[in-house]
Amino acid sequence: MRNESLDRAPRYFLRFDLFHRLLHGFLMFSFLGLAASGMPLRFNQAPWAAALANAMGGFGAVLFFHKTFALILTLCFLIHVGTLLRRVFIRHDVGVFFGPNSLVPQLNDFFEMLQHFRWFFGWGPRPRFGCFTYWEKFDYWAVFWGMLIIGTSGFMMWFSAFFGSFLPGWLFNIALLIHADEALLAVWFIFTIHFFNSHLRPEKFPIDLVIFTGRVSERELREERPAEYEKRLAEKSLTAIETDPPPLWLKNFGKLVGFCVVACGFVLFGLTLFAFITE
Amino acid sequence: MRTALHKARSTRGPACGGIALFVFFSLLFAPSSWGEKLPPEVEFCLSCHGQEALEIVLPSGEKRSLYVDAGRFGRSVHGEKVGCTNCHSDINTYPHPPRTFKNLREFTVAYYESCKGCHFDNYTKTLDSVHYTILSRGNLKAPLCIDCHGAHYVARPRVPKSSISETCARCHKAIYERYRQSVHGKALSQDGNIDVPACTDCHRSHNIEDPRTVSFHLKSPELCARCHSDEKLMKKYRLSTNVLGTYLTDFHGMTASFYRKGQAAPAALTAVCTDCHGVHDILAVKDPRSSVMKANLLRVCRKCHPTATENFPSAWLSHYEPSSEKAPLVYYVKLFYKIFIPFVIIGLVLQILLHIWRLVVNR
Repeated sequence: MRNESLDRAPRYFLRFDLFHRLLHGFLMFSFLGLAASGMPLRFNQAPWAAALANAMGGFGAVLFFHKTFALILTLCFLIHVGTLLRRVFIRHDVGVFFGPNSLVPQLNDFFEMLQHFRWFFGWGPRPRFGCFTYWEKFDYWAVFWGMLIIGTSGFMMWFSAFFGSFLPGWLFNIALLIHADEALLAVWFIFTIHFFNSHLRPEKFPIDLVIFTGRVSERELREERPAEYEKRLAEKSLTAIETDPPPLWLKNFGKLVGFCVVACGFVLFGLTLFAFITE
Repeated sequence: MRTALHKARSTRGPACGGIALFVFFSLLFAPSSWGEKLPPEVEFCLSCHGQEALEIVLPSGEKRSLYVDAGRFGRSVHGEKVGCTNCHSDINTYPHPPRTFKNLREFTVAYYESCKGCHFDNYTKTLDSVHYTILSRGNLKAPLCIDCHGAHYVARPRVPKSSISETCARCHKAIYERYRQSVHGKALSQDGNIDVPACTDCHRSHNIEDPRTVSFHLKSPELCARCHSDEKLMKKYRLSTNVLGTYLTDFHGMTASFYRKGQAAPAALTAVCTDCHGVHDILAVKDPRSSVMKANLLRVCRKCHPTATENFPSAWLSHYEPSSEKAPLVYYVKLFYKIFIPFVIIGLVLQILLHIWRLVVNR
């Protein structure tokens, strides 16, 4: 890195534009809020539950925050789906579903996963990942599925009188269960697996700022996503995504927000794990 | 209240002279066979107060009998232990120092604090009661010790247990009538079953709390649970002890326990046992008139959920733990997540560990 910077200023490429960074910001913010206000209800018998609820201003306040964050997250979801629909139906961009930049799992992802496991055991080289790795796609769909199912069951309970007019009552018991347990899975997934894969794995430790700055250096792109780098190099489309280096304030802002969220996430993970085991 | 008593003591009434004269004559003809076991001090007082006709007329026009039945006093809990002046400590001479009361209630209130000399713990408990609260606001109708226990003929409380509820019924008539029709009241008053709660089992006897407060409402499930989670007692009546546990894990119970632990007063309340089952008019759940009977349930739900539809009550699992027989779907979904969540998380954590292991090996 240092040698490179001595030779010439490192090049930077844009991975996430401002829209996606903002969308992720709102998603992250509302998810954390939902987890903090929802987990005291999921583990209401745990000793920390009432303390956490009181810290937020009591039970009524917890409900208010939970519903507010739910609305923000729902909005994020709708905006995301809206942009996808626009890409598909107005721009006729089938890259949403197929190709190297799609988040939809492809056959190639399956092979990359197998190869990744072979590498874990020392039986082969590390796979040459493209724009999105198989675990990133898993991450994306886990959140997508989670929002759909947790959101639906949540709105069902929020407007129980309306949904009760055409849905059988027993469905509400299932909704409560699914809402609470699917949320627990989501919380644990994000606060352990997502945190590790995105930030805490040794290659990235302690934090990967790309989701805050949107920019990756040439070295990062070449080493982590060689398939994408070489494809763009061959297509000569690297300059299309070239951008300025991340400003210092943005990097600092990313570190501040990132570390705070990771810390909050770990606390919530610890509390819920303790409550789940002693439940 | 202090000023009222003070007034009563300082005013002389026209009745005093009459009493003195009457007492003098009655002493002359006092029969000597009264209560042989009674202390001599009591015998001395009874020489007048054993006269059935002994009474005073208060300025209000009310008559107050001054007669004490020696036999009944002797059989009371105090009979052999307590003399007249233990309570009537202001009257230790004859002729009695003049005391004047405008009406009967003032007379009773004047002796209100007589009991605390011996029963100080129960006296202090009453200071926390809703009865004392209204008394301290100047309402002299609030019950004092003797209104429930009696004055000269104090019997052992709870003998029989039904006497407790009958005592409360003297003022709380309407509630008692409802209670008497309830599954608890019927068992007590008709079958003499003492397993069921009388008024004081829920409301306590001396430190009776105002049951209309939010805090009482929210902690009332604990009252019910004292009996309804008692394995031995519930087995006798083939009732489930699961009721509290299932309530607490249910949305209503969860909300109630949160509100209880919170400092802020809740804006909206949640249902506790009595909101569905009734308070004093609780019926057996198998009783067709019971509010929690399936046919009546929607009406109960609508008390809080006015827009509830026919489908709404079927969400309620009737205090059953979900099992493969009762609510199998709920049970299996629960089971699924109990396995699925650790499976996914542990699986992915293993992948992380593999990842770290590989990087360590490669280094």
